[in-house]
This record gives sequence, structure tokens and C-alpha cells, in this order.
Amino acid sequence: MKPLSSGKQLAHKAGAGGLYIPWYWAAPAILFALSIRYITVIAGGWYAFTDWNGISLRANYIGLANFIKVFSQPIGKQPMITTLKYALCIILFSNLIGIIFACLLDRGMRLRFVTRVMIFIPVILLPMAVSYTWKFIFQYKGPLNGVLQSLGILDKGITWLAHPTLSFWAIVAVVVWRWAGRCMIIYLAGLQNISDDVREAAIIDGASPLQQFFSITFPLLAPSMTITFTLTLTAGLNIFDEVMALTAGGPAGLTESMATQIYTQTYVYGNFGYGAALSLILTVFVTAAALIQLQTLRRREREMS
Amino acid sequence: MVATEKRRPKSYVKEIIMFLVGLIWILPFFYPLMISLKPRKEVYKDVLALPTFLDFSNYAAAWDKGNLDNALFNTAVITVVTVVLLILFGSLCAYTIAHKPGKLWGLTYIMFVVGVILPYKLGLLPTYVAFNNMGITGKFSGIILLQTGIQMPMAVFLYTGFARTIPRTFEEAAQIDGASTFLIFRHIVFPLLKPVTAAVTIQTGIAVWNEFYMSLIFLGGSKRLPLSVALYSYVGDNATQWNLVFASVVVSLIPAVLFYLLAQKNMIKGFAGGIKE
Repeated sequence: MKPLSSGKQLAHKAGAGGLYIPWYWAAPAILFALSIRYITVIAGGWYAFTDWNGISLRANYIGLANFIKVFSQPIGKQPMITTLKYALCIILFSNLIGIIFACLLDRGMRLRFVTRVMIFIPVILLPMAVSYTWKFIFQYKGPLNGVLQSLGILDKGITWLAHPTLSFWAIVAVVVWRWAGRCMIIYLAGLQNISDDVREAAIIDGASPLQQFFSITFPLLAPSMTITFTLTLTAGLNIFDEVMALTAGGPAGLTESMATQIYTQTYVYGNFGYGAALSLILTVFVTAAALIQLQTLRRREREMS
Repeated sequence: MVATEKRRPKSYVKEIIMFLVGLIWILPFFYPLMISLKPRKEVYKDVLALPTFLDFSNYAAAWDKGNLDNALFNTAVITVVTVVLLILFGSLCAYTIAHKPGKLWGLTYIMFVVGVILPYKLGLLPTYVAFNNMGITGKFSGIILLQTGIQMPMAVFLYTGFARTIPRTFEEAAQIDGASTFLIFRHIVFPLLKPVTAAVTIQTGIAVWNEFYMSLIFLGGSKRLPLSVALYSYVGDNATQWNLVFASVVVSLIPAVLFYLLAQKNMIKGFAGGIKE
């Protein structure tokens, strides 16, 4: 980063020379971001403390009543716990698989480029379309049961998406399948920064592949990890598409996430105040988790490098 | 070192195993393709069996009933206009931030960076109410304004990082020749920003194309349904007719696959963006 700061100093000197950029060049972007990403969020925060239903003209201030309702009823608490479980599993498995794939596809023959494309392709495809594909695979009469039965692993088919615990794991599997490729790409970019000299030195010193990984590769992947962890964390906490397509929150609300609950409460039932309270809780979760994570990972980056 | 590794037989085994893993990884896409070509009666008869004959009528039916042409058009309009606005306003703003000294511009940059992570769901309800009062829910204008606002921090963030590294010598030379600031931006700076424009196009373009949550809220029930919502309501109506559902799934995936093949080199770079090199 050093050349950048010296470049900046140069720029200041040049700027004093007089390339004048009118401030209003920045205005449209600032207006867009401020109005849609900040002002509306603050307004939404206000709704969380009211009883507004979207129809009545007045929104009455009711204090913490919406929040008490969220935390005291299972319908409010359950999605919160489920969402945290989703996020945890998605961060863990997407990164684990992403790192393994990246290391195995880093160097070698040309074939690895084709393999990379195959693993990456789910990343860019319409999540709704992809989720319906998986929904079919998980059907009672679907291919997954078909294969497992013909291999003799199962006697009887499983109703994956109606099962109280397996439905959760089915959703996690689909999300991880979609995110592992993205993590892999970011880790592959990180691996480019590890020079061959360092590896060769380690090999000459007699380090086993596992030792090489933990003492050289893993520490140097710290900057990539900061990005993938933040991406998968926000994706996990905001999980919506897959739940809507695969289970619609069922069975008995067990796979309901905070985002699906917010959608149903706010836009289906019109409980604007209650929905806003749920959104505010989710916003605090995501922001706090992202900030803590960024802090920890950045510190780790500095220690490792 | 790379050369010696190439000759090692162990490496071949590793790559072939990984290639097989890759094949299993994309195996799910085999089903939409196969089932969409199966006659209706055969879908569940033996789910693992190939179709006895290829039934293209599923595609015709899905195209007719699912309003896919309309959905493809809507998604394309929303995505293209949003990305153009992001490139135009995002690059101008980033260039300004990169050039202007002072705390206020530093804070402006931080506002965009925080915006990348800050969740936006809480703001959607007031936006929805405001747009409803303005009469722009269910319309292109509403969703485009919304998507542009949502993606703007990412665009400015990506552009600013890159704009700061552009050497000033080119601009200074042009300035001495008497070019106006806008001409300098248009003919010197913007072409230099090309790699990051590619990254912005890919990242925000795919995000907007695939978006479901906001589109469901702001466009649900209207004539402007994008692919994601059209597919969702189509499946809602035809839940058990997988041959039809998958015909529309395949159609909805084709544009993204074509885009991927066209932009393949930039694609992976665009998604890996943000790593210090």
C-alpha cells in the first residue's frame, strides 16, 4: 500500500496545480446512496417503534412493544435462531469447500481451468431457477431418493424438504453449493500472491503438504478470507430466495429465516411496525457481525503478514 | 517447478478426480435439461430414465403461459439501464472523490464503503410507501431507481479504489494542451478505468439480473415481472408440472450462460475483485 500513499501526496500537489473537478459530478451518486441506503433505513427504524399497518393515516409511537412481541413469541424467536444457524453453516462450509477447491485447482494441468468453470457456474445463475432445480432433486419421487434407493443406501425414500431437520440441511447444501465457487475464485486470486520460491524453499526444507498448507498457504490467504467471510456472512444472514423456493419456510416454520419472516409479516400481512422491528433486529445483527468480523480478520491479516 | 509438477503422475490423478468432482457439481443442471424434454407422462415414471422421445412442446407451452418473452425483456431493460446509471454516476463520483482533498470527501468515501455492507431491508418499507405515493411501484422507473441506489455504494467503492491508482501525468499533459475537465475525463480517465468498468458491469449486472426480494415487493402482480418473480409465480401455478417448470428454468438460464461465455475472462477477474495484487 506504500506506493499508493506517496501517489496520493503527488496528486495533492498536482491538484493544487489546478485540475478543477466540479463537486456536482459526485452529486447524483451521493444522492442515490444517501436516499436509498441511509435516509430510508432511518425512516424504517422509526416505523419499528410504531403500530403502523400501512393503511391508517397516523403511525402511533408504541415504544418497544414490537420488539417485546418479537422476542416473546416463538414465531419471532424461531426465525432468529434458524437464521444464525444458517449463517454459521454457510460461512463454515462455503469457505471450507472454497479453500480446498482453490488449493487443488491452483497449479497443474490445463484441465483445471475447465473444472474451475464447472464449480464457478452456479455463482452467476438465477438463484430462483437453480433452487427449483434442487427442489425437484429433493422431491420424494425425485432423483436423489432414486439414486440412493438404487444404490441400496435407502430402503424407502425420504421427504427431504418436509423433514424437520433434513429440510434445514437441504437449504444449507443448496446455498453452499452456490457460494463455494465464489469463495474458490477469491481464494484462487489470493493464491496468486504466493510465490513459487517460498513453496520451493518449504519443499527443500522437507515440509509435508499439510505443513506447507498451514505454515505458508493459510496465513497468506488472510486477505482473501476477510472478503469471503464478509460476503458469506451477509449472504447467510439475509438468506431468502432458497427458502422461498425450496420450503417456503416449512415444515411448521422450521426453515423460516428472518428475511422470509420480514417479507410475510410486512408485505403479506401488512404488519408494518412488526416487520420493521424484525428488519431493525436483522440490520443490527448484520452490521454488528460484519464489523466485529472485519476487525478481527484485519487484525489477523496484520499479524500474519 | 511447475514443469516438474506437470510430469508427476500423482498430479494427473488429482486433476482427474477434481474434474469428476466438477462434473458432479454441475450434475443438477442435467435435470432441467432432461425433464424439460420429457413428455409429461414420463416425468415421474422412472425419474432417472432418459426421455423416450424429445418433447419440445414443453418449451412452447412454457413460453406461452409463463410470459417468458415479457419477463426476459423486463429483466434486460431493468439490468441494462441500472448498470448504465451505475457506470455513469459511479465513475464520475469516484473520480471526484479520488481527486478532491479534505475530510468531507474522505467522509463521503466512507459513506459509500459502509453502504456496501449496511443491510438495506429496513429501508425498503419507507421506499415502498414513498414509491407507492409517487405511483412508481410496479413500473420500470421505480425498480431502476431502487436498484441503482442499492448498488451505487458497490460501484463507487470499486471505482474509487482504482481511480486513486491512475497516474496523474496523463491528465496534466492534456490540461496543458487546454482540454476541459470533462473532455479529460471522457477521453483519458474513463478509458483507463476500463478494467473496473468491466468488474462493475459484471458484479452489479448479475446482482440486478438475479434479484428476487425487491422485485417481488416492488413489481409483484404487475406487468413488469422480471425472470425471478415470473418464475416464482409460474411455479406457484404449475407446481407439479415439472416438465413445464423446467422448460422455463432452462430458458431463464440461457442468457446468463451466454453472457458468461462472452465475458469469461473478465468474469472471474470481476468476481475476484477487491484483492490486492
